[in-house]
Amino acid sequence: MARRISISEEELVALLKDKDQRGFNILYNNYSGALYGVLNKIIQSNDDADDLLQDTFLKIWRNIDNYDASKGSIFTWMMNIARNLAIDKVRSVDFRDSSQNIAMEDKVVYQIDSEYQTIQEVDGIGLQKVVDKLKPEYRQLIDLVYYKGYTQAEVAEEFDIPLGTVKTRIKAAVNTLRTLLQTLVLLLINFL
Amino acid sequence: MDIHSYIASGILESYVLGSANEEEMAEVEQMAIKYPEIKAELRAIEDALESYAFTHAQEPPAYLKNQIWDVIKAETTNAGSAVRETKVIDFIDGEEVELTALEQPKPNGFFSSYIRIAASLALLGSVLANVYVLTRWNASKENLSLAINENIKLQKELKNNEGMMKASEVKMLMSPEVKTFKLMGQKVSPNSTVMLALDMKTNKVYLVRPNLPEPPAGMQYQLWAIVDDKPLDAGVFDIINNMQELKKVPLPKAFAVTLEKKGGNPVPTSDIFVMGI
Repeated sequence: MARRISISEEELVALLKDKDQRGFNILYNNYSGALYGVLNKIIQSNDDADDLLQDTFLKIWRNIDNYDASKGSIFTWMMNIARNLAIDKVRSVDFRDSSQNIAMEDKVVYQIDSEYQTIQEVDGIGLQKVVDKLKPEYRQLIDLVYYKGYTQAEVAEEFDIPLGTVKTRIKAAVNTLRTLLQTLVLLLINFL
Repeated sequence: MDIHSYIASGILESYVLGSANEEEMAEVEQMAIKYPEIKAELRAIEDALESYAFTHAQEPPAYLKNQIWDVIKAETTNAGSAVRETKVIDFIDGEEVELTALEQPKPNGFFSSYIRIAASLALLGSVLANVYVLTRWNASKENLSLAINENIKLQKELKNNEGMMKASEVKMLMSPEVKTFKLMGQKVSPNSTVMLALDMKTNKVYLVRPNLPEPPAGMQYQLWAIVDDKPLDAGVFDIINNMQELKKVPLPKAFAVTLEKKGGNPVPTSDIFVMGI
């Protein structure tokens, strides 16, 4: 995967608002891999993921004027677009009609990480090691909510645990991730 | 509104994970505008989850990029407002140059660390080359002078690497018993940061790299562990580029650093410079 092109979020958003092709090139170069990974995790079908990636970029392109930097990072915004498109697809009638996909819904929860080979060559090496340190329960929680679009109430129901516990665990999971990443950043800074 | 209990409630995580309802989302957005601390916390959560998403990145099929751009172009042209295409024409043969070939990524920040790793490997390669040259120095005076030059260069580079973490320090930080804390700059020193590591087995606290202004003469920074809502002296430290072992403390609610007279005070007397949980 191509390396991320260095650009501030403000500059990138300005290029996109200007409908400048450079904006598209940078956006695609920097984020298509991460967004494609997200889509594949949710949809688990490469053909659909290709279509959804196109829909995602179209939606980003059309709606960039609605992006409000004070509400969050560009990635969070794009991630929401990608995830909502994918979840709509998964929940749509024609997708559910295929029996293989219904069966998939159950197994997804348990196989979330083993199915796809992830790209680790450039951006991933250190990160992957760090994320591997995250407890499986924590990863499953983050994956269910972040990737599968479960509400916390749905998680509570699915696993038969109180809603308060779900909230605490999600917080703990994200906190652990942050600490692990901080350590990684600190280690890498020292290669300077 | 108590900002800390708001942060502790987990609502910010819900917001970033996309599981907050509309009412909660509006509330978080309001709070982030009002309180910079919440905004910073939100951004930290976003960054962590962004990195998480990047660990699952997969390369889309190569044809998709052009296909998507063609759709965008067609749509935008139909709507009457043209996209701004960037065409680069080769000066000599007049051929159009593929844009992607020109956009050599210039990584920075987090991901450029790999460039630094590459640089470190390059340095290692350079050291090996140097050793090779030195073994042959009897055979050729030219080689000798080359080696000397290389050595001078390397020594300069090594000097630049002063303060680099030792392998033992890295190992310590990565150990599962060690919890790390990042202390962030407060009002008196907003750009300061301090990294701490607490060994949960021995309860020893280590200061990794303090990033604080030089203290005035006769003063030293002092670390406090907030235990049972009281500051507990965790030791004084100097601004040096190496890991420092401070006192033993139990796992505290938070850590804070103040500026005190040399040798420290029994209770904190100055403003908090950095703080973190």
